[in-house]
This record gives sequence, structure tokens and C-alpha cells, in this order.
Amino acid sequence: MTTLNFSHRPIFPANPSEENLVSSIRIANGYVVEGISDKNGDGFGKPRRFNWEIEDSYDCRRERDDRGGPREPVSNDILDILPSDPFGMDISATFTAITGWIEDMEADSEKYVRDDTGDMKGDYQFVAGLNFIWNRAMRFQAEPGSAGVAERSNPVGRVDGCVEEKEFADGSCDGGFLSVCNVEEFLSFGDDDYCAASRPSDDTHEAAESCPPGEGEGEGEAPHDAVSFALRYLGVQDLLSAEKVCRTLCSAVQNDPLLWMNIHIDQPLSERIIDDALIRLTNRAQGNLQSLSLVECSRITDDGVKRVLETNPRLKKLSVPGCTRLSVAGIVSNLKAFKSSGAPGIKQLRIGGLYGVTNDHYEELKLLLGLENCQQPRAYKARFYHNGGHLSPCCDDDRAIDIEMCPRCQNLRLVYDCPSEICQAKQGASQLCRACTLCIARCVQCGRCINDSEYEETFCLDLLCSSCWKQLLNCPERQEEKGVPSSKHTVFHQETRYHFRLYG
Amino acid sequence: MSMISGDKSSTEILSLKSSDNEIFEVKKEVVLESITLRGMVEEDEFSDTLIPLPNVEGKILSKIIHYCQKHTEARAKVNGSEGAADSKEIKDFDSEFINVDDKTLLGIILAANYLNIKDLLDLGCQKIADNIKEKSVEDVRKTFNIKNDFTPEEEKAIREENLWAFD
Repeated sequence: MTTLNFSHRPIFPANPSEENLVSSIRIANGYVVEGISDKNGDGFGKPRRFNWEIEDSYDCRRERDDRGGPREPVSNDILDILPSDPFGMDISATFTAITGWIEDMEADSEKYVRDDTGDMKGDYQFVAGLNFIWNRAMRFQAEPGSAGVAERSNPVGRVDGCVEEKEFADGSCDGGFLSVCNVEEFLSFGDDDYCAASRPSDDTHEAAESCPPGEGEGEGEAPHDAVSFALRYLGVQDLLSAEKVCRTLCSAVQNDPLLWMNIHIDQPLSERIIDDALIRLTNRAQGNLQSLSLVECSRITDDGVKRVLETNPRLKKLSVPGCTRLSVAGIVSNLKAFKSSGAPGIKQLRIGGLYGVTNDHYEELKLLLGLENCQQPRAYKARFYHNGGHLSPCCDDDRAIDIEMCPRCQNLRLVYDCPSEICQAKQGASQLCRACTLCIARCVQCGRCINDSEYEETFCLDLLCSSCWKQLLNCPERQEEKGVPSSKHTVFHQETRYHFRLYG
Repeated sequence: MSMISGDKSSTEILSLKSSDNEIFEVKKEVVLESITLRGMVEEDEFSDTLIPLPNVEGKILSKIIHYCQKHTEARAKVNGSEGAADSKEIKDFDSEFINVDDKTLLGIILAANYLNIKDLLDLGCQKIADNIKEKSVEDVRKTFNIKNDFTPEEEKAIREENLWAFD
């Protein structure tokens, strides 16, 4: 966690001239340190009770969870580093390098960075990033004050920002600063935004001096009400991001049960979510959780599902396709316990992709779901194999349970119909092109059966019928959209936006 | 800016007054797109007078009226015979309509909420949600001019609680 504990000394000299700015920069990396004003930047002196997270980022390579661990050389990827100790250690060597570098920037900053590579090999990327920011800061010297603010704030902010928000690959960083409210303005350096981000120095000055949390007159205000309305339209991961924006949104995300009544966990959260995290999220519904969809959440266990059911008696729909740590026996037992606890019970269950479903399991599940002790009526709309089958939401409908007995192999699996007109015209149960994918291979794109016709096998071991294959190869625009290179030697792009997934 | 319908005798015209005293003359059927106004109008209190909307400024109100007009027309066409063709047209209209600056967008959403125009509220909120999606926290703050009012401890606690989501 990065914090900035500013002294009450103003950051900016009363009459900022360029020279003052530069010397101030040298002094402080953003803070004024008493008694140090030489130009070569050597006189850093002892750091006072300022926040030296930068040091952490320079000197440490640590995991997120490793707070206060040993200092090690900084990793090549600054974004992997999270400083945690607000009271730093001696970073004078590092800052000497930086301030010297800044000094040279007046002449030729780029040259300096290159020269500096040897000394701070591990920091080169970081320094290059800083250089970028400093370069831009220098360009925007419209007013001495604002430029000064940028210059002072940047390294601290940038370091902190980069360090904290490694997950945001677009290069903008969450400053995480609280005291200097508009320091954050300078932390994300979108090309178009930088100018707009500059602020007159007096705002920052004010903000720096009097910015206790929740108060202060820095940039920004409480979020517009409309932003809170929009929370309903966000997925889980975006909601968790929104929590970090400000107190109002955090409170809304954490305390509004309506946001958590229908929880859908998909990529990229699906491979990260664990039982405890799932319980925390479902608890936010405050007992009103209605549907829970966990797509390929391979770390969720039967125990996790059990705990969710225990605390959410109103749950009606449970969808766990591809959750490989769940067992059918576990699901059956959990649903039994759920029902006997007096809950109305689950009405819709999706377990496509779970293996080892026996007939007994199936019968018990049907009972628990309130189905008559017979086959589900075939009044449901046809299900076509598409984009991986059970993983595609478009396969969802009103059925109580998604799996059924395959007419051909008699196993309990997901069964697909055939979109081909020829197959749809077939009459008679034995002729129907309707079976699980082990019995009837299907094109992953259109769902047609691939039996004796030509097909191609994709890199992901899916099958494509010849017409879908040709369509893919002959459509350069679509290929670009979907990220598929147009070379015939490359088969498929692995990005899921083309709906191909690696099954692993 | 006021919009006067061509034929007063066949459709009732109502007058809406924005917070900045702009007056808009609008067909009743368009006004009925708003559930809030529908309630007022059907009570017949306002049939001959201005309906004041002190929460909605003129610039926003004019956009909302435009939206309602367009959707009323589209619905009339659907009830006629041109159903399918229209839904693309209205979708295109919607995406262009909502492509406004953030300030206007936020204003539209609040007004749509106040006036209870569900489709417009959905449209606006979805647009904001799309703007938020996959943005960094800092970008969201900048886009919506939101102040980070957390204490360091609070921020740390939140980050740690949701650490799993952002590896």
C-alpha cells in the first residue's frame, strides 16, 4: 500500500521560476527537503518522514502478498512490485541517479537514460517510463506552476501508480494518493488527457496542504449519481474495480444487494476465484442471491458451493459448467441439504461438463429439481453446439437441467440438435441427428454434424466443417476483427473473441 | 427551442418547461413515453398548462424529447407493417444518440431516471458501463471527475480483499 505523508511545507516555492522548479525537483522528488538545494542532486540527505515507496519500487522485488519482505533488486516489470512499507530506507543512490538524470534532461534526457542503463539495469524500463513522463512534463510548461506540479508529482505518482496497478496494461496508473488530490491527475498519461490533467499550481498547493481523507479541495468530487446507476450494468470484475474508485462507489458496490442478485463469473475471474472469495461475493446479496453462474471456475470446490447454498436460501438457478473440482455426488448432496433446510430449492441446474453422471444421480437431481420422474418433455428449443457447447450462454433456456440421456450412447451428457436442414427434415427417433458430441462430431462454429463430410481440425482440437473453414479463410476483414492472421499457414488465433478456447 | 406539431387539432400538445425556463411543446403521445409524466398527464391536471420540470435543464430535455419522438414513431411503424427494418434503424439511432459527452450523458441518465423512461435509462447506463469497463481505476476517476477520498488504510484493505480478482 502506498501512502504519501506530506509535510505541511508547501510543495511549491512561492514564486516558481524555472530554476526553482528544477532545484525543487532535485531536492525532493516532489517534496521539499530542508537544506538541500544543490544542483547535482547528490545532496539528498536523509529522507525525512516522507513516504519513500519509490524506494521500494526501486529496490524491491516482492510479491503482492509479501509485505515488508527483504529488499531485492527491482524486477524488470515495475508493475509486479507493490511497495508496502511507508517508511522507507536509504534510497539516496537511486534518487541520485534519478535526479542526475532529470538534470541531464534539460540538455538531453534520452541520452541520459541510455547511459544510465548500466547502473540501473533492472530499473531501465522504469526509468524509461519515467523519462517518458518527464519528457511530457517538460513539454507542457505552460505555466511554471503547473509544469512544476507535473514534474514534482510525476515520479512519485508514476512509481506508485505503476507499482500498484500492474493489472492495468494500458499504462495508466492508479496513484493511490490521498493527500494530494490532484496529483492523481498527472498519474495517468493518456495522450489526450495530459493537457487536461494539468492544473494550476494553487489547487495542488491547497490540496497538498489540506487534504485529509474525505475532505479537501482537490480535483474531483463525489461521483455523479448516474455513475452509481450504471453499476447495475457492470460485470463482477468491473464492479470490483469500481469499488476502488472512491468511497461512494465502494459503499454502493459492497452494500447494495441488488447488484449481487445474479452473479456470473466468467473469464478472467473464473480461473482465479476461490471458495472464500465466492462466499464474500455471494454474501453481498444479503440472502437475496437468485442465480449463480460459475463458468469453468476450476478452483471452486463442493464445500464452496455448500457454503453458498447455506447462506442463500433464495437461490433458484445454479450453473456450474466446466467447474472441474465439483463432483456430481457433491452437487446432489448439496442440493439435498439445501432442500431439506426448507429452501424452495434450485429450479434450474447446469452441470454440463461435469463427468461421471450416473443414472442414479440423474434421477435424484430430477427429483430435487421438481421434475416428474420421467424424461424432460422435448418442448424446449433446439440446442446447437456452438463455441464450446456448455460454455456458451446462448445454449441456455428454460430447462430444469441441461444434461440428458444421449439417444445413442445412453450416457448423461449435453445433447445437441443439428442446424443442418437435411438433418432437421429427418423423421423418426433413430434417424434424428441428435446426440452428444462423442457420438456425433459437430462443427464448433455452426454446430452441424460432421460425419462423412470434410472438416478441418483446429489448433484447439475443435472441428470445423468445410464451409465454416472456407468462410474463415476467405474473409480477411473478419479475420482481422477476430485477430486471425490471413496467412493460410496459420490456423487459428487463440483469442476467445473468435470463440475458440483452449481446453486444458 | 420549441417543437410545435403540425396539426394541433388531432393530437394534443403539451408544454414542458425546463429548469432554465425553456418551453417545449410536445405531442402527448411522446410525453407518455415518460412514466412519470404519464401519471401527471392522466390525472388531467396539466392538460392545459405547462408541466414544470425543475430537475431537467433545457439542453437535456430537448435531447430526451427527441429520443421519445423517435421511439414513438418507431413504435408506430412497428404496429404498422415495417417491424423488422425499423429495429436496425432504431438501434443505429440509439447508438448515435447516446454518443455524447460525459456531462450530457450523465444529465440524460438522471433525467431519464426522474422521468422514468426505462429504455433511455438502460441506454444511458449501458453506455456509462461500457465507458467504465476495463478502464483502470484512475481512468475512471478522471473520466467522471471523481475524487479519491479513501484513506490509505481503507484503500489497502479494499485492495487486499479483492486481491484474488486482479492477479
